[in-house]
Amino acid sequence: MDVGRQEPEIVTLTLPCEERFIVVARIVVGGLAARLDLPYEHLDDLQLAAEAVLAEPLCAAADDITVELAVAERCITMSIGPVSPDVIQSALNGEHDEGIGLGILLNAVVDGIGFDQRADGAWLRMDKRVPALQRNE
Amino acid sequence: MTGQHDVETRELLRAYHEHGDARARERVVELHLPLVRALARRYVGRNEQLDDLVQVGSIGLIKAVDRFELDRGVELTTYAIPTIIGELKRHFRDKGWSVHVPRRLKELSLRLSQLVEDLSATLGRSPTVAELAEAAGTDEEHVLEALEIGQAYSALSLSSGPGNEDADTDPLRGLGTLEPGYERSEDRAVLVPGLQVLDERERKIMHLRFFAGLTQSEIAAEMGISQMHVSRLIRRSLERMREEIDVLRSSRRMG
Repeated sequence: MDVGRQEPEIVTLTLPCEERFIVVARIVVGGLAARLDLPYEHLDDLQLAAEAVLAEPLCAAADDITVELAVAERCITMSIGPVSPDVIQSALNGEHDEGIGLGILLNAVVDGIGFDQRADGAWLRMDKRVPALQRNE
Repeated sequence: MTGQHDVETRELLRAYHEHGDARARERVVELHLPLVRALARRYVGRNEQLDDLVQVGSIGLIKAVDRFELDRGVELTTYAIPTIIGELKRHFRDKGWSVHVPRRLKELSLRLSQLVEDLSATLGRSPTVAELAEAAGTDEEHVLEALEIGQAYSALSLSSGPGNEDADTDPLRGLGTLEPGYERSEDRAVLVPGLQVLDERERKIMHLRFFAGLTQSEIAAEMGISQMHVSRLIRRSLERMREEIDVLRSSRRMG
């Protein structure tokens, strides 16, 4: 896969909104990140971001949810949707959360978070920069 | 759980722990079997019968009853829930590992942790999957599979791996206690309720990763454990917190 292209290449995966399918998303994200030569630690961060969003109760706006990975130069954008924006926004703000809070977690593992409004509803967007690798050849 | 239920439980636990009353122990277990059944029901549908899972969960309940310390100041249910869930999860992990995972992947999974450390030291950064595959003499797909297995079966793989890094598997070790320096941490945000189910080391790792902003490698260096172990502990902690919060919310809904 050529990460130097201007137009992002896009991989999508649509899953039932059930906990047992989260592992499928993790494997796909991991596989794609490996193809991009992402260091293991960055790959793990991206997987953790996907897991955290998909594990958020009632995050999806429908029975299925789609994970979209757009690969551009030095950046992977992972979008998940359509989501219930109120639920996700509340989770991002850490409201009613006895845990760490989705916002704090995502801020630690990705480089940017935002919402996109699409025809089918709101999508949560997360950007992960791909570092230029120093190789000891 | 009602207040009367808690009082009765406490009296029975006192009779068992202070006077060795075996019938009191049986009665406590009996009183909490509905809790085991409720938790076991969440795991039905993975080729397991509810009654079998109740049996597995009951082992966790008995462990919790036996290990419970009256002066901890928490109710038995608070202590027992993660122990029961831990027993159920261990059941699936152990079974899954022995039935489904080829030996070569188990071995690769155990080797990868050391390879990540070695390559990180050589390269000055976390290695890529391709670099791990080359070092392990295998292909990237196998590395990805082994990494996935390492996450899914972390408890078992680590307990049988070099150094036994994960020897302390009691899910409530350290409940209600904080190491002195950590308690004085400036970032009190880390003391969120869900974190109380974690032990000291796990809480510290969560604090360093999500509140202090350290990377996994930096945490690994500070804690003297491998980066992959940090990764596994973070996932396990998040999973346990989700379970705890889920149960707490369910309990509130039931009044």
